[in-house]
This record gives sequence, C-alpha cells and structure tokens, in this order.
Amino acid sequence: MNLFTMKRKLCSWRFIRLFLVSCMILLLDVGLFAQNAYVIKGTVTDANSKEPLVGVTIAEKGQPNGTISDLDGNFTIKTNPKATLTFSYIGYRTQEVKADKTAISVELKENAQVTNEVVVVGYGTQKKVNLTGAISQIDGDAISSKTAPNVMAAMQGELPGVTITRSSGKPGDEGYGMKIRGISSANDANALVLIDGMEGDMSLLNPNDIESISILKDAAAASIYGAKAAAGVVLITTKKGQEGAVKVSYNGYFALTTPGNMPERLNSWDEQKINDIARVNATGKAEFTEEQVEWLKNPNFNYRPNIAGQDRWDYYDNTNYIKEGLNQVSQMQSHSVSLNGGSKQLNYLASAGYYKRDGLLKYGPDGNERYNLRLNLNSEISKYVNMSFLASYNGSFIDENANGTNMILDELYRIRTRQPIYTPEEDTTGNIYNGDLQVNPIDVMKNGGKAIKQYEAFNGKADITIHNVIKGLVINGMVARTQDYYSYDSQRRTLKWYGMTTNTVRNSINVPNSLTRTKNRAFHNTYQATANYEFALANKHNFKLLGGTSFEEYRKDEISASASTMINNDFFSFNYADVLTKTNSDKIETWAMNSYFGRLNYNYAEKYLFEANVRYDGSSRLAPESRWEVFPSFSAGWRLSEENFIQNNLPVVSNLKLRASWGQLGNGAVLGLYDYIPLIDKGSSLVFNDAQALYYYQGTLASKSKTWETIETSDIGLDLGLFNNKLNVTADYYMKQNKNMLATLQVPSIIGVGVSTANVGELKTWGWEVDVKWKDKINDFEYWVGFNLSDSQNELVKYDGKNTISAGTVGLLEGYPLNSIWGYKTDGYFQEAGEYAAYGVEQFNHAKVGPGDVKYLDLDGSKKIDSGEGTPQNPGDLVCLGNTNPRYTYGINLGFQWKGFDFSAFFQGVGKRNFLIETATLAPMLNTYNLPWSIHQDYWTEDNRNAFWPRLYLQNDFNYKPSDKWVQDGSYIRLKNVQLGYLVPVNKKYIQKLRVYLSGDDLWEHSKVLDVIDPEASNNVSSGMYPFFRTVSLGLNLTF
Amino acid sequence: MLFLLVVLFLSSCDLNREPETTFTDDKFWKTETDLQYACNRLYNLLGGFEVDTRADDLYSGPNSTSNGSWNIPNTNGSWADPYYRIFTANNIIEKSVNANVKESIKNRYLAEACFFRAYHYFQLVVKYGDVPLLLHAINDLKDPLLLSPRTPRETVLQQVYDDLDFAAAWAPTRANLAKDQYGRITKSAALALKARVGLYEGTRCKFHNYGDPEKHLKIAVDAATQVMGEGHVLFANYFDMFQYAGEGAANKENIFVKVYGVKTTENALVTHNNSRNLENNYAPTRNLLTQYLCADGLPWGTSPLTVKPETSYNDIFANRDPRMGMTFYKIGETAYKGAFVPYGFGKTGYSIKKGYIQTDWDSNGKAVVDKALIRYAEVLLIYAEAKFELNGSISDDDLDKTINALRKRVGFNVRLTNQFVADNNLNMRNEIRRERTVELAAEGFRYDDIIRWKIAEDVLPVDIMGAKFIDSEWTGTTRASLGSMLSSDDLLIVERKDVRKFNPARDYLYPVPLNEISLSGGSVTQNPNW
Repeated sequence: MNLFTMKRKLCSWRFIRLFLVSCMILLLDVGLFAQNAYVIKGTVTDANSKEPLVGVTIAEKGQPNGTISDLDGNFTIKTNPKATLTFSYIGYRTQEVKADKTAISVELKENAQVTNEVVVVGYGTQKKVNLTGAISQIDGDAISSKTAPNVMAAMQGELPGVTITRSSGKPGDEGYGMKIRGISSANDANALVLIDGMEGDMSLLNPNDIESISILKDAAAASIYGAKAAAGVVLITTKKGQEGAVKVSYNGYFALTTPGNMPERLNSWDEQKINDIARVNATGKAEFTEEQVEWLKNPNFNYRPNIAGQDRWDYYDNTNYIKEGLNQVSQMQSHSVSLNGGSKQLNYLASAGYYKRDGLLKYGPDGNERYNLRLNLNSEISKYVNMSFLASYNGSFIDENANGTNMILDELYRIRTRQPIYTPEEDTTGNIYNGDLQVNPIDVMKNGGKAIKQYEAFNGKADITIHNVIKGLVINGMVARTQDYYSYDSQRRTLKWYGMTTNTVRNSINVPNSLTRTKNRAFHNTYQATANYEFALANKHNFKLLGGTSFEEYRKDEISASASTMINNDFFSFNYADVLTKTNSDKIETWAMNSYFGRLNYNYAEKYLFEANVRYDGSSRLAPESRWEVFPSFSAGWRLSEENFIQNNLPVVSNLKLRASWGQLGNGAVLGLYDYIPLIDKGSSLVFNDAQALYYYQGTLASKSKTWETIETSDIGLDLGLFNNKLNVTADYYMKQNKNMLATLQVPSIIGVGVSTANVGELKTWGWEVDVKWKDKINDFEYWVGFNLSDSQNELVKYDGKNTISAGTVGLLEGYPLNSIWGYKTDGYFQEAGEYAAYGVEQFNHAKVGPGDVKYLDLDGSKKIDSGEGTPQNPGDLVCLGNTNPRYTYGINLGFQWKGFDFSAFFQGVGKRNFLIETATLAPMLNTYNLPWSIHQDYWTEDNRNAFWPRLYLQNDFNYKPSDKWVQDGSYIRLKNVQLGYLVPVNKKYIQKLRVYLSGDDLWEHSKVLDVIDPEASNNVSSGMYPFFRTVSLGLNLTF
Repeated sequence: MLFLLVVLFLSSCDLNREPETTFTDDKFWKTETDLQYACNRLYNLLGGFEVDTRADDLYSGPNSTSNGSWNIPNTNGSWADPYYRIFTANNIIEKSVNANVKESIKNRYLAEACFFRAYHYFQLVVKYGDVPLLLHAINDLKDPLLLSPRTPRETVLQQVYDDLDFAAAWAPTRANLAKDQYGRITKSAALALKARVGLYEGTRCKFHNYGDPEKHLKIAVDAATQVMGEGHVLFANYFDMFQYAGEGAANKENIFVKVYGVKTTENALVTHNNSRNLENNYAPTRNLLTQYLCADGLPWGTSPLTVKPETSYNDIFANRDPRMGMTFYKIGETAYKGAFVPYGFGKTGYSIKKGYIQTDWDSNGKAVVDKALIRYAEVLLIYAEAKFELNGSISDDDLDKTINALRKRVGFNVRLTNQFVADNNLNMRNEIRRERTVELAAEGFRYDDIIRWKIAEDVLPVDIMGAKFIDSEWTGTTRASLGSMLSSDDLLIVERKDVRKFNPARDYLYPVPLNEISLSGGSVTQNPNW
C-alpha cells in the first residue's frame, strides 16, 4: 500500500515537472509577442570609476522585457516611452530611469557603503551598522550555489563560530550537526532554527528557496528568543515575490559521486598471510598450510568439501567484496524551478524542488529523495494593511536495507575474501549464496529486506501587517502551523546460509522474519503578535521599540507496532503475523509555551548605540508555580567611524564599531515534558500462577523545581571596514557560563527512589572569532578573498562530582573539557628478545610481550602499566591526549568574476581535534572475523622494524590500547567546493540569464588521520562508517 | 484577523499539559487492582537466588568480606537496595489510604507492604545494625527525613515485629490463599519471618552480650509455634524439594517463595541461572562436607564409620547422613555435562547437586525453578534452637517435632535425644547448629549464623579447604597445574589462612558507605572501628 502511494506520488511529481517546463516554454512565447518598435540605446557605467559595467540587467518595470549590457556597457532595449527601466547589478544600487529618451547613459553607484545593508534579527530587521549583537549572515546564493545534500552541508565553514559536523555519507542520514560557539551544555542543546518564524528542520529545505540565513550568536541577539536560545538561533528567510514581470528561474545540477576515504581489501592469499602470522604469534599455530595458500592463488581451484569432514564447503576463492558490493560512481541530482512576479497589490513566489541521491550499495535500496514546494504570497490590501501567506511542503524519503547499511558495509570490509559470493554448482541446498564463515553481505543487500523512512511536513502561515496609521508604528499578527507526518516501515527477511546440506545452518539473520512500523503525526502551532514603533527626537535620538507575545503548542501522536513470523518471507503484514509476537505501543507528547518579549533600540545620531532585550517565557514543562522566567540582555555599540577624529585623521577607515553585550539565555532542550508530575511506571517482569503479572510503581520523584539551564553570555566585538569597505573585518571574543546546568543530584540512598537531574552543574565555554573579507575590482576583473577563523574551548566546572577516568574517551570529567581522551604514552616497539624482561614494567598481555610489541611508558613508576585509582589526581600511567571538540575551525573563500566567467574555491578545515578509532577497526585480527586491509601490510617484522603497525597478534588488543600512538590528529583542510561558471551570451530577448557551471565538492583534503578514515569522522569511528562522497557536478542556472 | 488572533490568544493560552500515554500518580491508587499492581512491584524487586560466599561453607574465589580485606565503599547496594524497596512499601502504605475499597481488602495489601518493609529492614539491621528508620515515602528533596540519623536496632526491630504482626493479622492463611495467588504473602510467611528475626536477634544479643535475648527468643518460639499450627508439612523428598517437583502450593513446606516463570523458555519473564552458577560460580568447602554426621549419628572424624585415610574421592561420602548424597555430587554421578569429574582450578573440587536441574542448565540463563526463601524446615530449626537458647535445654519431644522430623524425612533414622548427646559426649547446642547447617546447606544462611553465634572470628580466618586430590580420578587435572594449592596430605587449599583475617571489634557489622555519611551531612555515623 505504502509503495503504491509512493509510486503514485512519483508519477504526479513527474507530471508537475513536465507542467512547469511547459509553462516556461509558454512564457517564452509571451515574451516574443510583447515586442514593439520604440528602441532605446545607452551605456551603463560605474559612478566612481566611469568604467563600463558588463552584464547589468536592464528590465522594463512591470513587464517581461529586459536585456543585459554588453562588454562595453552598451545596451539596446525595445520598449515604449511611458515605460520605466530598472538597472540592477550585483554590488550596485538598483536605479530606475524613465524611458522617455531614446539614448540614455546611466551611472550606477556601488553598494559598497554597507550603510543600508540590512540584517535579519529576531522579530525584524536591523541596519547592519546599527547592530550591537553578534550576528553572522549568509546569502541564499552562497547556499544554493553548492551541490550539497542540504542547507547545513552548504553552510559548513562559511561562518565564523558556526561549526557544522557530519558523521556519515549515507543518503538522507548524513548526520549533520551544528554548534554555534562551541558547546553550551553537557546535556542536550541545539540551536533554535526558525524558518520564516516557524521552528523547522533546515536540512529539509530546498536551498534555492533561501533568501538569507542569520545566525544569532550572542545573548544580545538571541535573548529575544529566551528559553530556547541557549545554543544560538538560526533565522532563515525564504525568498519573497517581487513585483514585476513573471520571472522563471531554473537551477539544477546533475552530479556524479564517488566514495572518499574508505578501506581497500587484500587479495585472499595476502589476507591469509596476515591471518596466519597473527595466529602463529598468538597461539603458535597457523590456520592454513602452504598447500592451502597455494589453492587460494589458484583460480581453477576454489572450493572442496570440508577437510575435517564437516557438513560444509571449504572455500579457496578470491573475491573483491568492495568491488562486488559497492558502486564506484553513483548519481545525485537536483532541480528547482521558481516563478516570481506580480504587482504591488499581489506578488508571489512559487517554487518546486526535487533532489535525489543514490548511495553506495550496488544492490537493494539505498537512497534519499526530497521534494519541496513553496508558495509565498504578498498583498498590499490598502495603504494600511498588508497580508502575506506562505504554504510549503517538504518531504524526505529514505530507502535503506532493513538490516542497516552499517552492518552491510562492515561485512563487505571484513568478510574473508576467500569466501565466494555464490555456492558451488554442485551445491544442492537451493541457496545460490554462500554464507559459510560470515553472513553474505551481497545476499543481505539483495534479499535481507527493506526499510522506508518518510518524513513530510506541511507549513502554512498567514501574516497581517498594519502600518501607516500612526507614523512609525507597525503592528503584525501571525498564525502558523506546521503539520508533519513520520512513517518508518522495516521488513526484515529471514536469510539462512547452509553447509553442504540444509541439515547445517552455517549462518542466518532475522530468524524469524519481522515487521516493525512506527507512525506519528505532529502539529506545532504558533500564534504571534508584535508591535514596532520607531521614532526620533530632535533628529538625533533614534528610538525603536518592539513589543510582542507568542503562544506555541505542540502535540505528537505516535503508534508503533511490531510482529514476527510472517506468513512467508515476502509478504509483510500484521494481519498474517504470529499473534503471540505482536506488540504495540503509543506515545503522545505535548507541550505549550507562552512568551512576552520586548526590545528597545536607541541610538544617538547612529553613533552611540544601545539595545535591551527581555523575554518572559512560560512553559508547560515546568510546575505551575515556577513556570515563568525572565531572560534579559543588554548591549551597546560605539561607531567610532562616525566620530570626527576618525573621519578627519583616518579617512582610510570607512567603518569602525566597537560592541559589547551581556545577557542570559535558556536551554530548554534538557527538560522532559512532564518532569513536575509524579508518573507511574509499568513493568511486567513478574509471574504469578505461571502467567505474566503487571506492576506499577513510581520510579522517579517528580521534580518541581527543575527549570531551564541559564547560560550567561558576554561578548565584545569589533567591526572594521577599510578602503571604502573593500576590506571588512569582524572580530569577537565571548564567554558563556552555564550556571545551573542539569546534573545528577546526589542524595542519600535512603530516599529509595530515582531522583531526576537538578540544576546544579556548571559549564564554562569561551572563544573568539575573526572574519576578514576583501573584495575589489581591477577593470572588469572582480575578485574576493575571505577568511574566517574561530576557536572555542570549554571546561566542565561542576557535574555530579564526575572524577573517574579510564583509557578511552571520558565524556564528563570535572575540571576538564567535555569528551577528553585518556591514554598511555608509548615509545616505539620492543625490538629484541629479552628487551621486555629487561624493561621490568608489567604491560598488558604480560607473559607474551615480545619484539614488535608496543612499549608503553611507566609514567608513575609503579612497574606496571595501569590506570592507578582512575582519577585525574592519580591517573597511573594515563595522560590526557586531547579532546574530540574541534578548535580553530576555519573557512577560506576566494574567487573572481571576469567577462562572464566566474570562479570560486572554498576551503574549510579544523585546526585542532583528536579522536579515537574503534579498536576492532584499528587492529587487524582483533577477532577472527576482523580481516586486515591493505593499510595493515606495513607490520613489524625483524626485517621491518620501523613498521607503522606492531607485530600481528590474533584476538588481543594489547598493542592497541588508547595511546599517543593511536590517537588521531583530526586537524584537516578540505577543498569543500570549487566552481567554474560561465554566463553564456544569449539573446536577451528570450533569456535573461543562462549560466552553466562545473562544480566539485569535497574533492581534496589533507590530514594526518589514518588513510582510510575521513578526518571528519566521529569519535570511535568503526568500519561500518558510510564514507563521505566526492562530487563532481554540472549545473545550469536559467532565468527568463 | 488581528481580532481573531486576540481571541485565539485569550482562549488558548492554557499552559497545562497532561501526560496522555503515561499514568500519573493522582489517577492511581483507586481500586483493588491498583493496590495489587502496586504491591506486585514488591514481588518484582524481591531477590531470589543469590550466591553467598561470605562464610566458610561455599567458595568462589577470594571474597573480601570473608577474608577481611574489605574496605569502606562509596556506595553499596546492600545499603541502597533495601531502601528502594522500603520506599515502595511506604508509598503503598501512604497512598492506599485514598483507595475506594473495603477495609479488609485494603488491609490485605497493606499487610503485603508491611511484610516487605519488615523483610528489608531486617536485611539492613543484619548487616549494618542501627539504620535510619523511615516510615514515610519521601516526596520532596527538602524533606528533613532525608537527613535522618541511624535509629537503634532495637527500635527498628520493634517496628519489624509490629509490621509483621499487622501482616499476620490481615494476610490470608496458607489454606485460604487463592490458588492463582500462590507466591503472595500469607499469615505463615509473616509469622515465620518474625520467628527468624526473633532467633537472629535473640541469639545475637545473647552471644554478643547486649539487649534482652529472652524477649527475642520468646518471640521466636511463639511465632514458630504459631506457624507450626498453620498446617505446614515437610515435603516428602528432600532432594525434590529443590526441583520442579517441589514447586507450588501442593508442597506444604513452602512458606515464602520467589516465583520464577513462566515455564516455557521462549516466554520466560522472570529467570535465573542457578544451575549454571552451581556448576561454575561456587563450590562447597571441605568444612561443609565434614559437618554431615555419620550414619551412626556421630560426627565425622570421631565416628568409627569414618573412612580414613581417603583413597578415593567418594570415601568422604561413605556412611554419612543421606542428605550429603542429595547435596553434593559423587564422582561418576551424572552431573552438568555427563559423569561428574572433580576439577580444581581455584575451586574446591566439590560440587553442589542440591537444586541442580539439567533443563535449567540447558536453558542457559532462562532457568525458572522457584526459590523457597522460607521453608517449613527452617521454622522447625528456629523452634528447636530458640527453645534451647531460651531455656538452656530442649525436650526430646521438641527434638522429635523438629530435628528428628527432618532426619526422618531423609531416612536418617538416628534420633537426636538428650540421652544420645550425653552418651556420646556431644554438645546439644553444637548438634542443633550442625543440623541447621546441614539441612539448610547452600541456601544462604551460614554467614548470618556465624555472625549471630559470634563464631566468625574462629571459623573465617582459617585455611579454606577443598577435596583431596587423587591423580587417577581427577581426569584432566594435573598435580602440576594445582601447584602450591595442595597441602602436604594432598588436600586442596583454595585460600590460605595467612591471607584471611577477621577483626571481631569491627567485622561483625558492615561499614556504612561513605556517601551515605557525607550526604547526610554527618547525621549518619560510621560503625565502630571502621
């Protein structure tokens, strides 16, 4: 049923796309008919340099008619004398000129004076020069120009203080995470993402719909969002309609992707050699005889009945599972079409987007599709009233193997290459797939079952604005609803692999087969009213007041069910499953929040700036008597560049502002839904009369006093523009203190019941950011270079007395940053027999340490390698080897435009980070089924004493304890995006803009991390990690 | 629209949200089912099979309590776990007040809560002595009760008696308990527990020289006498008492049982792994085996029936109390994986047969045979011992009702009488204690017994001995592999006395965990000499 509707949806989507393309062709024709005989000729030049401007868009206002200036700045346009022409050009102010003369020369003024640049702030906009908070903004163009899987991916490295991480290349499950200014809480804390004022998931957006993204980083900027703002706020504004002729834009690309860093397998005899050496070293006995190794090399001899007479085949084949199971090249594509136009009374923007990415697995489902629809309508009903409507649909569909892609990848990387994919011809079991020593990943891919994850969200919003009734007063009311739907459906098929007969099951999965379904629907309503009042006293004292209130309510209703033992292996329905295995559960989650907020902006002659914010939040999550809390902030700025002593003495300074802010933000992510209500838990591990009995109990005390974590944030910053704002610098230093972080409260055990966390912890986070941009033009060669760098550190000041360490990653440790890595110090290998005995320090695997084993250093002189008392005060031989938090994150952006060509390159990286690799992934032969990779060939032998890997050793991790030898230096630089575009000269009558581009993403990186592991990998990365892709794409921007 | 918005605001700004798929406390505690389900939690938390190697009867590697190397822990389940159960009981006692049910029904469930509160306070007192006595469920972290100091053991035990009296008054009798409720508390369970507490505290007072031994011993005798009037009968077969055959209400020896099940392994909900533990995790010491009398009723070693020297593993089993053969494996008997072969690495070489069930072993972790926590045999032993300690003597009639009844059940037909003791120069107290040790072997009583008898200082800091190593019989074990574990006469010594100590001024009570002291702001104090 599900599949069927899916297919129908696909069909209808194809239809819509066809329809849109047809519309474009139709509109082209309209353009043809709209011509007439009145012709205007002219030139466009730069107002300062008087140089001609190339590629200026000249359009007839309100009509689908336009052209572009040529290489000498000349243009010709057919129009009528009553028309108005608009001249627009990136980086310049748009000008309107009456078409009453047939020859016009127009001078455009550069927009470099950013005085009018406006930035989206909470509940409004603010002139950039008047900002006192720390806000970074990025244009939609910078997002949509990348061939990234989603908006967050496109933002990686772009903004100082905004760290984007990812954990997987799996289509639709890339695991993107965003941290604004480091870590805000040892508990959960995520940035608040508002899309046109509604909370939403930015990874589901169509990147082409985005007008701009503002990141509110400090308390001054974010505290207007109070209890939700602790980890920063992301404000996404989508594109709106613009009055004028209908403009159709298409932006699309087709990309080929290839997996990045991933392991290479060995052929079966090289693999067996490592396997045997590891066995000999550990147990004194090889697995294979020399003859058997010869069989591996012999392509004519691949199997025989088991030597020991067991009911199974012995295989001596050589299979490259990576090649057999994974695509070397897969596809990705994205298409987005938008219509934009209308009159002042009613204008609109409608867009449709489609994105599809295929994964790495050669067989079975592995892909993600996304559909986006959006309609923004604006209407000026009268001089006093504006209304706008927004409707959007985002849907993401992930198809995957029900057994998990990670399991399949892990098997492909680890299955013995001497195992063939198929059973011998003589095999009579009926199963053509072999699964003698391990489950067969090819068979699992093809026949293991599928899972489908669907997430769909519908957004609707209506806005009404009343203005011009009282001068300076604007009143706005907004109602919005997000309705979403989630469905997960997993069908696990039983697979069995036999020996020579079906009497012996060598391996099996999903016995019995099973079906799991989860469905939920949720809504999130927002009602909001704001009033803005702007006025000036004596022309110098400028005031802006904002007052507002909002109410939000949320409800999610979920049903899950599962059952096993279907009627057969191909029909999955609860209706035919084994009745005794059926389970079901429901979950309803609700919350509501009411808020009042206000802001005062004051400036004196736009020179001395002051801002105060306050938000008063009440939440259903808190006990009625302690439901409300205030979150204030204050900030001030001083625009030195407006002072005479700067203007007179330092004319090179075009903009200079100092800012400082202080405020409090709340972290609500940590609160449960009903923490203050005593709840009754249920259990069923009880038997009376040989039947299940139930019991109900209170497992945890209600927590009436629990409240939001309060994060106090201070920031000082500097904005500097030099050389007529060709060079722009922004720098900030910040300090965040989570003063009442939720942590386990220790009470005497006699309380006899679980105690929930309380606001008793403390975390300190601090750091700085610098953003430098240079943009200039030499004749018609326009170029830019940008660089941003930021740092963030943290210290867990107080958390439940957490004071224990062990080798590996320690998440919470008082006095240390979160996620510190502890391990041993090493000093190469023991090279000679007897060297270990002479060393006199007891190591792991004590009795069997020999030449080629790692030498651990006895730092505490205890003559034994250990972790002492397991505390930082008495760590034994453990030392802190860094932490997994990225520091010195940076981005470098450079590019140019010249005669229709544009080029850009964007590098992104991390300056300092450490992480560990899961031991079974790091160590060859940690288990008999952890087969070695090509990187493992450089192992210690008497003839290879400086080997990278120690002596091979089966089933023992003693050489691979967390230590300075194995902890990874996760710093890296990556060519995130490189792009070359060309503005194709076409007849402007029909097409306003045609740009083709070739783009490459993630093409190159440099790091010291072990070759097969990506430097961006998560801590404790395992061999099941889905590799990141490298992408090359060909794209097209078309506007007509 | 703005108007609409205002209307919406006014109408919908309600910030109250209730959990809809999780039950809340204020909706609970109304019906009999609610009370029963609340009490069911107490049964869920009840422990069943627990390996106890603190005494001198069982060994499974060095035990820090047993060998005196224990330290003060930061936290300890022995302190914390009973309080979790006590909270549950207190919560039921407080909240059930509002239940809309008949007084007798309410009291029946209060009886269960009181029984468990007593059961767990007794466990606390046994280990720690004085403990904070909380009779209310703490619902607020600011409750001053949370900083309660330790209450004298006498007061705590008085509360235990009171709770058990209430439980005995309102719980159904053994005969009246509905069949489908088997496993729930009965009047005899409450009285039997009261007898156990009385004997423990009575003898402890007596031998540690404090308090009023007589009061407690009287309580023990009275309570045991009452249980003996409740229609309990010893199960015919001692070995089967611990097998599936011994399960259920039909076995009138069962008084208080932890119920495991259900009996199909796929759907097993409450399971244990006792049979695997018997194989792998603990082994009886030679000391336990020597306790069993010879067939003539005389102690092994002094009886002429003693086989000495031992030339075969099975020699020590020759001419003994029949219970010995039902409790330990002889060589060649069908055991865990076929014929039993003694093995020694870190173990004693002996192995327990009592309670071993092959199907449970096969299920590996899903064993479901019930565990009798109080059985009638113990009540008889309590009666005998309490009578003797109270009066300094015991009549042959009382011995026949108790100890001789236990012997008779297993076909051990030598009566313990005052005459027999006198004739053979025995000590009645020792014989009563011996009978208890043998009858209740490996059921988790021995440590508490040596503590209350104040003999831990004598029996713990000694060589812990195992079986005699005989090359020809110990297939797969070489003399070399046992190395220094063998004594001069080839007996296994699993732990030598020079690494074992017992400090009588300190070790008769557990150390109070450090966190409990510091978090109470010092109102909870440490036990002496810790």
